[in-house]
Amino acid sequence: MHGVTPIIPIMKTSRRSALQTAAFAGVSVLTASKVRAAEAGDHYVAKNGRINQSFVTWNFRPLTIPELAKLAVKFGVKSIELVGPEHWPMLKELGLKCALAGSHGFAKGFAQPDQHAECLKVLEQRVEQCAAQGVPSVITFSGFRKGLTIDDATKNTIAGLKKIAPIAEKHKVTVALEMLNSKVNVEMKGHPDYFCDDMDLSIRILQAVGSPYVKVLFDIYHVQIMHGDVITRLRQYKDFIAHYHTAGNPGRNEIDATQEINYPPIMRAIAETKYAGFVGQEFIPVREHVRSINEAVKLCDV
Amino acid sequence: MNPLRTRRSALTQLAAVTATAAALGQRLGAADAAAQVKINHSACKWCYPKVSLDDLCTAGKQFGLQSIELLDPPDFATVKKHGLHCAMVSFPQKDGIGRIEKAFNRLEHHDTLVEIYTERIKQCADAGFKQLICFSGNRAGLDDETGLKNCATGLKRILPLAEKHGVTLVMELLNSRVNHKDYQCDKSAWGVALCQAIGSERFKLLYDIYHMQIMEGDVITTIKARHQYFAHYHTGGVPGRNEIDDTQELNYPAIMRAIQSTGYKGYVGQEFIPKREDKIASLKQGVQICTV
Repeated sequence: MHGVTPIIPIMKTSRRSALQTAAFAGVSVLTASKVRAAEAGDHYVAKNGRINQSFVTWNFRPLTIPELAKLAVKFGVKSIELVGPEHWPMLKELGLKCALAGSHGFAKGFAQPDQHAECLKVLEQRVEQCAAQGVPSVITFSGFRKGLTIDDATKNTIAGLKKIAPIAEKHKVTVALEMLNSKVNVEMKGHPDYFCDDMDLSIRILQAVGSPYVKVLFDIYHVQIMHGDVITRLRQYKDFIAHYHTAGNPGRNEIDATQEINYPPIMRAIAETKYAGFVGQEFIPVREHVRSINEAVKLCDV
Repeated sequence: MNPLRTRRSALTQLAAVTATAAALGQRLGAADAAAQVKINHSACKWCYPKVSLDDLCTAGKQFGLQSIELLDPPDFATVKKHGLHCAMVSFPQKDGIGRIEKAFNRLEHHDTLVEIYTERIKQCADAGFKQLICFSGNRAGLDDETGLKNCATGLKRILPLAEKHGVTLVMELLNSRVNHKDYQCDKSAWGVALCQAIGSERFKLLYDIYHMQIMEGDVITTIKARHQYFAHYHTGGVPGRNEIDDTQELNYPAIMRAIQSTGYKGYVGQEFIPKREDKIASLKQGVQICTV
């Protein structure tokens, strides 16, 4: 699909505002009292230490970032991610990390030369903030293809990432390029016309950039939609993977047996690659949120 | 032997589904009426080279297997003796033509294919078996558009006979990344385009879940969108093609529920290569995982 208008040209960290007004308004019936009720019950605490887990936040609305941070502590999860620097002191106080910082939104990125300056400006500042606060990585995107050939978009993306690479290297902060699916035409479940929709191509881009501090965000949900063969790919590309995300397929909902991706063996395969980074839970619960989050923590604690 | 299983397998052969469901409701109770729409289980013989067909039939019936598949005509009598079906008959071959690598995508194979498929279709019909596997062949430099056109040309020569005998030719989707390098029918979109070019209910696809997870992923969405072109399903763990349990990346029960939701009345053939010592126990586990 060419020339598709960007669906939600916003920062990833402000995805929630779009979600509130869109189809997910229904979930806001989850009240504080329900949260407390769920928290009071038995819950699983991550204990195995083979997979470092993290929570993305936009997808767990209406739970707030502070509420998710408290749940992370309670469930043995070590990070809250894709939140801005204003939240980092609060995380630090709770003994949590921010495994992955937000930056520019996914509708803009390095596939488009006229967006390089804007993305670089955001990334440069964020890399410095990450270095100062001990945040190991920051997200980036390709943006949309908008009629460019794959060759041209590839060259542009390589050129753009090569500009941020020396800054990332200097500060020892990893820039993580996210691959998204371009197949599902449902808001926040897929991104038609997004350029970096192919893991194999994403890796070729990273190889051309050639920096140990420019890597890929391997979103298992998006990879399953575009390619399948998840375990083979994550083994093949382990040296290029900065971060992982989860969600069930189809639907981007709970990661349990209601959907096709069998997460525990995938987590075991990730651990076997000696991966030392984080796995961010990024599914949109359709059931009671706190319970679904806790079940996901358990499934990934292999 | 489980008497309910036996009754159920006998009932699956009845054509009138609604009448069957009503009869079941009266005779076996509501729980078994629900079981009538469950997955019909089959297993591929080649995955158990050290087990005789006779032994596989005897063992499989104990845990609900209703079919042993990818059999050649000399084996038909054995499955029939056990009251089992052969949900997918194996391919005929002559001078290497008919095999996975050399089949319908080459015009020069068509005379031989028409000859050997004519005989095999009649053998299927005589035995009461309804589905017969076929392949595209390897690309060997042939572009996908020409390959599709050639497949349609060759298959159309044999389809009138298949239609006459009520036998469906089923082309298997295989992965070309790991097991069958260069095989042409390696994407469901290509297979669906071939079905549309042919336009016969007697030509469909075998959606092998293992192969398609390797080639394209998005299994449930694909099944829901394209099930009208899928006449049969195969299983296998990814990666490795071994047991379909928690040692691999697919949630088979969820996929089986998706297949059920399409109203599928055919069989699911277990086609994994057991890694554990007790091969039959692995097959039993596979059947149990797919019983949803």
